[in-house]
Amino acid sequence: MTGDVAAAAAATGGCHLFSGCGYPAPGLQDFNFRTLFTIGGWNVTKPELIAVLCGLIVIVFFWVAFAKPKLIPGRTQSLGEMAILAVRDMIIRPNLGKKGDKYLPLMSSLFFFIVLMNLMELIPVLQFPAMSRIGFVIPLVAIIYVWYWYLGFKTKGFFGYFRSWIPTAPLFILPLLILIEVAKYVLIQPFTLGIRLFANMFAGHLLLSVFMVATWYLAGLSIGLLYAAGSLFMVFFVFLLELLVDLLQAFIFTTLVSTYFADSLEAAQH
Amino acid sequence: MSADDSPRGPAGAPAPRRTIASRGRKTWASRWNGGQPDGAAAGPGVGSEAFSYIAAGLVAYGGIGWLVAHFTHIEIFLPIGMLVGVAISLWWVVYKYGRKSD
Repeated sequence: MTGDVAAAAAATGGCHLFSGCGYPAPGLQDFNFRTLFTIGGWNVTKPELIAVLCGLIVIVFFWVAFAKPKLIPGRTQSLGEMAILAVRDMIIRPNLGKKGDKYLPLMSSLFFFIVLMNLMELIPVLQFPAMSRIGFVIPLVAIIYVWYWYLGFKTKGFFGYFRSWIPTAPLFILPLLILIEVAKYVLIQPFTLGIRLFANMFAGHLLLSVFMVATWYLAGLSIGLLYAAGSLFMVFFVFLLELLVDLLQAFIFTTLVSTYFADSLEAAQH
Repeated sequence: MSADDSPRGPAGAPAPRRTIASRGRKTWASRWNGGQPDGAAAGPGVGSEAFSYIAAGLVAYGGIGWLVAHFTHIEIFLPIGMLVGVAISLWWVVYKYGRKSD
């Protein structure tokens, strides 16, 4: 009951230090959203709207940049070129070499979609990283998972792909390692790929919420104002930290995808 | 894509093309990979790969330990399985990545 009162007070903005309502700690409830509107029985919420918006931004930007490419590029085309060349040179080439260039459209869309989805936590009004809902991460991981298994089957053949999991190791330990390799490919790789992105975004948003709510809660004509200033400083600090984390997580996700692709495309050695 | 992103000399003249062979198979991509040939599992992926192995060892042998513990009702098999898995994975990570590549 007390929680309900605090939440209600926080919702109306009336919850401050010494007002008797206690600190309305952010939690899982901040990741559940009301239905904004309904389309044909589909309840659209804020994270879904953000996901659609990010997808549209990526599509429209690259469409505008490369629909009619010119030899002497204009501003948008230059920006688009810089963007995809950064993905090519920092993510694809180091892992896949030149043969990976054909995955440039996939990796670029993936990288910029994830970056935008993450950065939405720092945009006023939107203020939510859609990737902190695991429902958005799982389909991405599923697509990538199916894709690199398919590439493995295509490159090495059905049995060849599974045979390529057998590591080059001394015979006495080989049987013990096969189980580890199977667990790595089947369970750990997709799990860590998804959980890393989701957990970072979830924790980042929660951290930012904790300090934002604390600043509001502590602000008032009392000693709390001093602590509110400290909390506000932390808001700015975490904001900058999250800016870095958002970019880094998109980079790590795409880099890992390209290493998994490289693993699938690597010529069979056994 | 830029129209021409090939390397250029000081006066804008095309620089002599350096083939992979002329550089002893060390492309800039391979330098990122810590000197290993292109396609070798190294660079930013190594840390993640090592973590994957350790987690896989924990899950695989922890799973076996759990099964044994479940059927024998001797619970110590679960932590034993996990420890054995981590030990094997660690050995494998050190064996695979710990050696110097040329």
